[in-house]
Amino acid sequence: MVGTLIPQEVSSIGENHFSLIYIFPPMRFRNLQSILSWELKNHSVVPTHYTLWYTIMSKPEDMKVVKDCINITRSFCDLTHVWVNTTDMYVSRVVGFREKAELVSCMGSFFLESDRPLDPPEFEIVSFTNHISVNVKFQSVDPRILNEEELQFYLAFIEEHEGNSVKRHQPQITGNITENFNYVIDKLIPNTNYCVSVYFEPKDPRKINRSPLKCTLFQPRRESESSESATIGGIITLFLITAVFISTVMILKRIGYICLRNDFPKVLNFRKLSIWVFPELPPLEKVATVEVIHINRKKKVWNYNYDDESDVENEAAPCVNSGGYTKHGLMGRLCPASTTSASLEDCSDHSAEEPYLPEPKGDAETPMAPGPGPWQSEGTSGGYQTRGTLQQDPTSEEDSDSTERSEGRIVFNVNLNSVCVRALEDDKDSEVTLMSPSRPEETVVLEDLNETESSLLVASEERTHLPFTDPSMECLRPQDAPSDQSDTSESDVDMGDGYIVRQVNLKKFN
Amino acid sequence: MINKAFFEIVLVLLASSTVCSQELKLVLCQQRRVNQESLKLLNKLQTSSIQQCLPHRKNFLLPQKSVNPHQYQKGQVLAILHEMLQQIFNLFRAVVSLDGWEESHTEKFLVELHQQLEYLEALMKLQAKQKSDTLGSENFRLQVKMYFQRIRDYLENQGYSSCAWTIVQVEINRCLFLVFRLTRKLSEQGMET
Repeated sequence: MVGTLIPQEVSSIGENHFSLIYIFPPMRFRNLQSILSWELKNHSVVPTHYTLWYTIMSKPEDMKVVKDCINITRSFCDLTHVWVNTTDMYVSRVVGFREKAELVSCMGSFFLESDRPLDPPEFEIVSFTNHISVNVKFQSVDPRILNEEELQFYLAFIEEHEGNSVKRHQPQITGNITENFNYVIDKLIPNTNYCVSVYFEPKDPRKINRSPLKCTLFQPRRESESSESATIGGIITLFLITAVFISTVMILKRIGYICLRNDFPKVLNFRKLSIWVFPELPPLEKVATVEVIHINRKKKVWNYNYDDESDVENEAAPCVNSGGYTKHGLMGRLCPASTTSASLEDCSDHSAEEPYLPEPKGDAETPMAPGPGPWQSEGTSGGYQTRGTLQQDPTSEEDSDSTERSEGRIVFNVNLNSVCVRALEDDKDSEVTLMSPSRPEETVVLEDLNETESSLLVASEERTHLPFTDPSMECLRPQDAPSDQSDTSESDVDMGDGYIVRQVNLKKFN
Repeated sequence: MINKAFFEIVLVLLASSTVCSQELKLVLCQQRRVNQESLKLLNKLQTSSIQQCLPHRKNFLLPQKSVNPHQYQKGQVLAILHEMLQQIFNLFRAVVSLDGWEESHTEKFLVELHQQLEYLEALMKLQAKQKSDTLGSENFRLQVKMYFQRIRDYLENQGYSSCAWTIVQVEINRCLFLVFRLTRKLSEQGMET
């Protein structure tokens, strides 16, 4: 080992048979200072003073004396400021004097890079819940001996003693080496005694100077607390996750992404099994041809064409239409259906509801005055009500044009609000009860008057009998007396028959 | 496209720097091993032999500037390190074969030294792009070569005596610790860049 002082035989002064062998132990360095110390093994001859010389191997220089270590009585010498070049090999020589007589000398060679055993630093250990913290306190380092860079590479090992097993840790020293260094030892077994030792590793592995062990019993005390805090944290996390999930679901529902409300009407509800199994057919709509029977009951309302044209109207007013023609049942004064206008009052008291609308001739109000076409209304055989929703049955007789009537019918524009209608069923014998749209309570029963078709529409010239003998036909008829005219009377009579019938019926109903 | 290529380039640079840092750590650790082996060899020398060889000391004029780590750039340090270790390797191989030195003592040292040389050569390949730095280091490399030539001449003049070899061993040990300083400087430079 470099640095070991080998015994040097020194012939004793004044004695021939006396050989003194002094073995000087290796010089020791304290911490980071270079202090060379020596000891005498043979205490037979003790020198009183010592002087130290040194030289280096890299240059052929003579021995130099250390100024601070000339004739010293102590057995050590501080060479911190002398041996500064750590890469050089220093050769030292210590000579012991006794009263200026050289008794012993000792030489040694030292390579500071490797031969300077550093004293272990001071440290403290603290036991925590799950680890042990080792706080190493580095002492101030003389940059001339060992600068920070070099000291970093004097690896500090921390040994962990558990029973008989030794685990060595090699911490990474970064930053300023003069500061304290903290190292954490984890992965420990609970309720176990651990001892820690810290030392610097010199380049020569044989010169490890270990520190005394410091032991502590590793007892995780705060496990319960940590577990409690972990439990609380887990609960809070779960709560947050649940809240986020619920809010997300609510937002999605709000914006309609999920759980869309389907407020479909029942008819669009296809989810019922019964619907699929037993599909309900929609109620059939019965379509029937309708004959419009004009009935004017209020002669007071309209005046202008009543007196003058009553005859004509009476005559011309087609009250019975056969085969789907529009029937304009006029009652003389009561049904002052003019040839030009179907300004008929409502068959009922609907006049108050609906304004009297003198309608233009013929085609002006084709949908209203189906002169050409029969009025038809929907209805069942049992009776139905129509409110101004008279339709032309396209399946009805086509020759709805009253003007086309062979018998010279007169085309009227009919105000549906003022008329009663009569449905012309396919089965002409069936009785269809119609009701004027203006008077829901009225039930007008119309019946195909096959026989009276031809004579329903009575031309002005024709003053035929109006075979308006539809007993089932009902219509509110005005209370006015029939006109005085014979024709009207006839018509009245004729119609009166029907009217009578109607009246009867009306009475019944009324 | 440019961003994508840039990202890839950054990744490559990071990877290479990571590789370099790992290599540098290897170099540093390996140098410690080399030095330890050298110390073991030196420890076998007896102090008596050291004292006896004091008159045979010679100043080989180690180029201090070459081994001063504070004046080097990154690329230069690597070249100097490689040169010095290569010379030491060659020297030991030549002397051992000649002097009949027990190879068992030096074999481990040479193995560690060889490993360190491989690490350094791998690093030099990674830094092959920085040829401009190596130009400045040629002067230092020449000085290192001259230094070792002086050592070889000394050995030859001394007839490869044991004292001469002792002196040379001490000098080599000193040189290795200077190399260790350079290696530390290199690792610090590599980690910084």
